[in-house]
Amino acid sequence: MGRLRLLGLLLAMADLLDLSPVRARYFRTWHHLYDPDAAGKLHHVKHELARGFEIGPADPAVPGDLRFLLKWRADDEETRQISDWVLHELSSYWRQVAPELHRESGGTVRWAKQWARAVFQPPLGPRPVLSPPTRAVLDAERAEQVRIDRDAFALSFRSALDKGSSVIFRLPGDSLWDGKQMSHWCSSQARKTGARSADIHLRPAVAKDLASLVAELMNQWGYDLPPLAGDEALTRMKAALMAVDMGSFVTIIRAESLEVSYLPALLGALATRLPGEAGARITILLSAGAAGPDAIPGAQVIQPDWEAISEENIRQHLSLNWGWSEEDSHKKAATACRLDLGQQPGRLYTFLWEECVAWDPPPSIF
Amino acid sequence: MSLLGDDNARKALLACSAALNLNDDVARRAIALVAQSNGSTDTLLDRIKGLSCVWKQWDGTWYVAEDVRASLVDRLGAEVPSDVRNGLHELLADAADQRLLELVPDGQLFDYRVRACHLEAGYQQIQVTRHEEAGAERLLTAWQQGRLEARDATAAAVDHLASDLERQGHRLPDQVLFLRGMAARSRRDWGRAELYFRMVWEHGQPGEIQAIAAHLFANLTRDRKAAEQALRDSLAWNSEPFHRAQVWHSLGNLLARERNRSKEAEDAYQKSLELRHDPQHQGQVYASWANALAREGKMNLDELDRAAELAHKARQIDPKNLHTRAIATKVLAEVFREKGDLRNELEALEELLELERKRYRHQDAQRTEHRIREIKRA
Repeated sequence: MGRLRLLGLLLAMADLLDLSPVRARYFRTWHHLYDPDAAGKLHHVKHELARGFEIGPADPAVPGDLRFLLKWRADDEETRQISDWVLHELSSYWRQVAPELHRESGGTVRWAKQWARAVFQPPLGPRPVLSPPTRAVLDAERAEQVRIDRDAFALSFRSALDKGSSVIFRLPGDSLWDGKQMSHWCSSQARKTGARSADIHLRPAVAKDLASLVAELMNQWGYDLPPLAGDEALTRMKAALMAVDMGSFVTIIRAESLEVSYLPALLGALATRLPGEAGARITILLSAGAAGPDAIPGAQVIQPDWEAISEENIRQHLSLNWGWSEEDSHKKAATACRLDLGQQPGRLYTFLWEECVAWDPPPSIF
Repeated sequence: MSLLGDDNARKALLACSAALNLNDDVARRAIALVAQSNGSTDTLLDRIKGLSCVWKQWDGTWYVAEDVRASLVDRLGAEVPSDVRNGLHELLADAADQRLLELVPDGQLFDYRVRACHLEAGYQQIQVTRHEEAGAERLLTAWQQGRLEARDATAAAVDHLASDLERQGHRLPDQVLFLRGMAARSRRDWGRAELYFRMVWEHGQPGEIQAIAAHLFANLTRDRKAAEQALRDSLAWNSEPFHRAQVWHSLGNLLARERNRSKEAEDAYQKSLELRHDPQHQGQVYASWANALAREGKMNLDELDRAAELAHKARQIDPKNLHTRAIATKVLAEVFREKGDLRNELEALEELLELERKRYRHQDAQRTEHRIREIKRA
């Protein structure tokens, strides 16, 4: 029975780690019966990009410690992001299977601490490229993998996007909070649904006037703006938002200072749409202490509950997103809370990242 | 957190905090210089970019958030030797210059990016020993680019950055003080504006911005003696007719408020009119002159007639200028009032009320409405 269980675990692990291109053959033949959606295409490209993998000793001098070596056909930002997405998910499963395998094999199957290593090789020809929708799915999947808690906000954001609401969410933009991570999550979710997303930064240390801010926004939507005065630029922006069937817009505004005379006008303009138009107009305003206007014509202003992240929510994140066992996730969540990181979610992200990433090269968070 | 406990990582973060905008290439060079990181530069860069206080912008550039940058800049000054800091600021200034050379004209964004490059280069240069003046000039160049809103934004940014420089013990050059004054002026902080313009004027260095600062200081201060001296210095420091015309106009207004100096005031107005012939300036000077005469000429019919004549002239020369028309119309209303001509006073006041409403001068409009009611009751 023990041997069978060991065999089962070995097969499970082997199946899990099998990224060979042959697994994407369905999509590579011309017999497939339907066109896969963006998520399906992402998986297809993942298999296409994987050159192969090996399981062998991490260090020839220590033959017992295994390492999963994953080779990719290209070396660019997109491939690295796909690699991190894959290794994040595999690491989660590995954390669940590896201890069992170690025990059932009587300690024979051991893994190195950095259990996986990605190798990026120069491409030997054209490589598969992600289409914008597929790329958006990858970004959204990656942001979802690392999101800690904020489920209630995530739900209301998705609901506003689905219902085509005109909303301004005021979130804390302070460095100790998790506004950066959550705004990144919002824009990735928006792009995944086909909404236009853009981000702008109001910073007292740089000389950005209203016209330049609007030009940055419109450039991200695909428009160029000639040199204009601020109110003229705002009129052009409203005209773009008033066009028929423009879909949804999600704008991230990070305001280091709210002492900007044109901020209410900008927020009001971003809520512009044709009467009856279904597309959402969502603005995420990140500022110190989530401060900002309480009312803007044409938009609902919401300041979501933004409490410290509880120990239980950290534990759940460790368990569900990183695959830690009940015991380990409890221990790590307790450590994070002892360091007061629940009160400083911005730092919590860095802490968990350093604790949980178990592959080389370690990825950038964002 | 763990980053600040690691000497190399901390220095790498300090290096990045010195810049207003970074790309990965410039950041790598800055980190290598300050942290002496050699082979670990890329790892340090990744760790820094992962921090919650580091924000990526849509064009791929990134920056350290202001709520932590200011304290990091102070630590940079305390922990990193001055020769390394000089090298870092030179590197960042050169990188900004390089970006400037690579910019492609593409509308509004181009204008902003040019300004941003000058601002970054100036802010960095001003922190390099013996390059302070060159840096200050670059900041002024950034301000001179673009239209009024862009100038206001630049002055506000320099005002913000000046507090970093002050904390580190840098002497603020006239250009920076001048821009701080302009920033205070545009946010209507008259006290600060007066303070900074006075500092520039008191340095006593002839030059274009010094002349403008002296002029603006004179218009803000209640100290008439200092104001007159500042205006005369302003005239001496800038021979450009456009500037001198404005200063003579201000000097005329100042002298007109003093008893027994009406002749000098009239001379000043006359000189101002001789230097600029555009309708806007001529209209404003005639309106001011008329206003001075109306104030001076109460109980003196000849003076009142002259005031009315100049007010009519101002309205004819620049009829579309609401400011000029409002002053001139107010003068006419006062003249009619002094003469007891209620019908014409009422007519002038009704026009004045409309002008004040158009200029959003609500308090002035209330006073005018009050007087209109008084006349109608009478």
